[in-house]
Amino acid sequence: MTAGNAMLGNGQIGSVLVANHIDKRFEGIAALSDVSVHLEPGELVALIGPNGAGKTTLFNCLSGVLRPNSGQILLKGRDLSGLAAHERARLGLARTFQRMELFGSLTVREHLFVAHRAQRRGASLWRDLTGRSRPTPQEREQCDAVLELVGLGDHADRPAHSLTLGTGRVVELARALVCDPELLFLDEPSSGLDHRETEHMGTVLEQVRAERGTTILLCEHDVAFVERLASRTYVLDCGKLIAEGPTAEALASPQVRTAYLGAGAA
Amino acid sequence: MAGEILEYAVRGVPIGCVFALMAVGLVLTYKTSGVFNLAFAAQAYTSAVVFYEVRKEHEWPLLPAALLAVVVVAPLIGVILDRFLYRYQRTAGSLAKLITSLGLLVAIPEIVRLIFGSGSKKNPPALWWVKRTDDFLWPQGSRFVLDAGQIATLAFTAIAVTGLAIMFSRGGIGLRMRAVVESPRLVQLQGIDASRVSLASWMLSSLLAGLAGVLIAPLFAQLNSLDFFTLLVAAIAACVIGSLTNIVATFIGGIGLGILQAELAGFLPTDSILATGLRPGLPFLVLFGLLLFRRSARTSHEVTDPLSGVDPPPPPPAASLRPSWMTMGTRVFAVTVAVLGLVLALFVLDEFWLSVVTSGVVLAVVLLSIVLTTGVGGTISLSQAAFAAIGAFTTAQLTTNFNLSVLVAMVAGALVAAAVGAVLSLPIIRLAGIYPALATLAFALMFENVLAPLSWVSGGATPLTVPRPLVGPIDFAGNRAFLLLSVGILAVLSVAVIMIRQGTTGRFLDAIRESEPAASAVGINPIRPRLVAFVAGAGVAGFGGGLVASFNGQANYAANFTFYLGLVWLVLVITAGFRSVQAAIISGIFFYVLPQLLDRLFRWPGNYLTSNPEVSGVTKSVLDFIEPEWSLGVAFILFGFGALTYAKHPEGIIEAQTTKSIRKVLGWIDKARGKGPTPASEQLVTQVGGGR
Repeated sequence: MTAGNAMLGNGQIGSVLVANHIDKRFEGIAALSDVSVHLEPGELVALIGPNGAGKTTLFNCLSGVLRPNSGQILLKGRDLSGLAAHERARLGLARTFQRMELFGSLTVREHLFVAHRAQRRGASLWRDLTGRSRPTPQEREQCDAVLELVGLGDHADRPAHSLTLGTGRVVELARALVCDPELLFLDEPSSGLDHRETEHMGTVLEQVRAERGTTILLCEHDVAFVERLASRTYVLDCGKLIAEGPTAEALASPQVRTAYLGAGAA
Repeated sequence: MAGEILEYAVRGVPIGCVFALMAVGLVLTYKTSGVFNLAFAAQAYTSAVVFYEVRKEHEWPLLPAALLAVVVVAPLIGVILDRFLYRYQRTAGSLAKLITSLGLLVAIPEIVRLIFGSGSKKNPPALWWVKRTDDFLWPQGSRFVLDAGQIATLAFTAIAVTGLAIMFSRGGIGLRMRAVVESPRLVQLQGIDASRVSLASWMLSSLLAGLAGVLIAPLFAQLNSLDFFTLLVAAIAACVIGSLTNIVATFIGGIGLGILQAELAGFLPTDSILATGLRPGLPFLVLFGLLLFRRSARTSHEVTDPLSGVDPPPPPPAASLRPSWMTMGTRVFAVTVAVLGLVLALFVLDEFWLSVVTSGVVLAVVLLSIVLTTGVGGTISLSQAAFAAIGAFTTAQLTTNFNLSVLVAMVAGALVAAAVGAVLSLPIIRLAGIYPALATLAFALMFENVLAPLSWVSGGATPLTVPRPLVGPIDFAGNRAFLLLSVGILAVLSVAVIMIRQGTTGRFLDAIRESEPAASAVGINPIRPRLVAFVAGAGVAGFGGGLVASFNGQANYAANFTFYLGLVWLVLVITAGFRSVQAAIISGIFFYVLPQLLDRLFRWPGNYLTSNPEVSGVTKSVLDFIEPEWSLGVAFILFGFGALTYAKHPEGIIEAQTTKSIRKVLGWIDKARGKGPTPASEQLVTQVGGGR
């Protein structure tokens, strides 16, 4: 199946995310050219591709870390262009990072409090000075619910820098979930994890989907992981979409086989 | 007109060459060792003093004098710094290295004064075969006539540039230097001795700094280390022109700055505010403009070693280690000690020691602003002394001219300082890496050289008087009453700082410091909390400045608020542990008490000699050698060297000691109970992964 952009570019009215014709160049190198994706409510869609295909660049353009050279991004119909990463986060875009980004000195529970507070109330010097900045019962309850959901209850009071990579990635997921996002970007949640940890991550994601129905865009290397979780898959190669469709079909397409076998990483 | 432009340009080139030499040295060491070595200003001063001493006091011939000052002493300092200091910090962040260089900037000039005496060194000689700079003029009779100092500058800069060009175009030293910056550990895995490359660049750049110091010295009426700080700002501006990496652009930028300064000097009417303000302020303005418009200054230049993952994770904060009963215990203990100390101060100390301690408590209020801005907010600010001065001047102007009550005027001073901080923070907070430190350094020096002397700011040459507060029936004129007032203010502001640090603002700042991308991904604005902390810090400094002025009875810039003092304060608080309020309080008191203790110590040999006149020989000469006047210098040297511990204990000496003793106590408890290690002490041993 070829990347017919006319077709791919059309998200429907109810789409959670529509990104049309995204171009991103780094000093003359086209990292992304004319990439269009859309996500429907409750979907878990995978984004795969060989190393250097532009997956993380696309994530960064969507979440506001990078500014695309051209193209349009709509979240629930709202144009995101010109908004910074933290503003997009408050509109309901949450993400995790390929290279783990935790707040080392904070405990797991504090990670969730900080994220919860940033989403809803923000910081006020006056509230800090009058001693009204402790977590409210409601905040505690919601953070505990997320800890329970992803199975982090035992680690809640440990500082982040004492966690293993596998647990750390689950903390990133929990921190994103506590923001109650419209849309969640997961950037290679299984990279660096061993078989058992990857298995656990898959189980956690299935639980999250079963209980919350969060719309997820999953960027992944591990094809088995993608086959297990994703209903639909986009395939990127050299900054272009080369295939899109139901996961099994997309993975079986000749372009994808060439891209992966050509790169020597089938 | 065209002739005049050319004439001024020719006059500007020599000073531009000095800026350029210094700047090239800065870029060279920054590229090869990640150290933005502000201490080059002190090294330049050292070489200038050595050259002055041997050439003028001991009347050496030019060649040996120049060889000693520039070719021997200057690189030797570089070797010492690299071998004994920066070699052990190669994998530390560039901020830790910058702080080390700040400590050196404090300590080195004091060491030089200790060795060569603090007497004034008038009319520094030129690096030429003449006694006085204007003994040799060339080409005579032309309108482009240059004196010996300028000719020497041009000649030696040409030699230095030729040497550098040959060195970098031949052989692989340039390439090796660049590789060492990327990752010293990777380079060593390739079989290259990174420490030799680093040593070579330190010797070279220190030689350039020494040369710059000797060349610029004849421009000053007398040698003063403060003038060399100002030279530093011009050099930093040149470095920023070259984005801290491009040596050629840096060199051209330095010369350009020199020419621009000379053109301004030529064309501006000599008695206007523009001439008195703009000309000395030019390097600061250029630096500020560049930082504002350079996008590269907004993205972090932090040099991170790809192999830094092998480093162990940072130590957990002491507070997270101790059980809650111990936290309560230490709090009770701290309050008891503080109250006992206060009682002791009020009822036991004589008037002299009472005023020493009060000075410390008052200063601690200013130092709290460093905890807020740098410790909590994460912005290295070198302008806290300037904010304190703004507060003091506002207080003085309002009480003198408008008869305002002192406490009200102090609050107004805090507000004015906060407002100045707000304006300043708009460009500064967006900067990344070491740039905020450079920008605040530029502001502080501009304030010192351009704004503080103006009469509408400071009241002119004689400091304005400030009374002690009088609130209703309570008069704080007495020293004991004033100490009580200061302790009260300090306690209230300390609690406020702790509330901010532990509140949502503090948590957001923790998150931003640990990972800015993750913080913005959960919706934290990465600019706003830092801006809030910077502005609040400026306000606290301003309030503290007003208190200092009220305590001293006057707003005296030279005695209480100079850039150099601000530097010492910053270094002191960072050494003690800039995240904690205790650090500010202990630093403030220590700053005044230590020099007095040293003074008593250094007086002792003299007193001993007068009471025991029969002592003779070696003992007598050793005792005779020690001078009580050393006390302040020695104290500042100790403060400066304290900063060298930062790279090893970024959490500060106090915190490091606390952690150590908590572990010890927990160990004792385990032993007493005859059990295995408790979860808390076990956690220390088994930490794996996750740390960055």
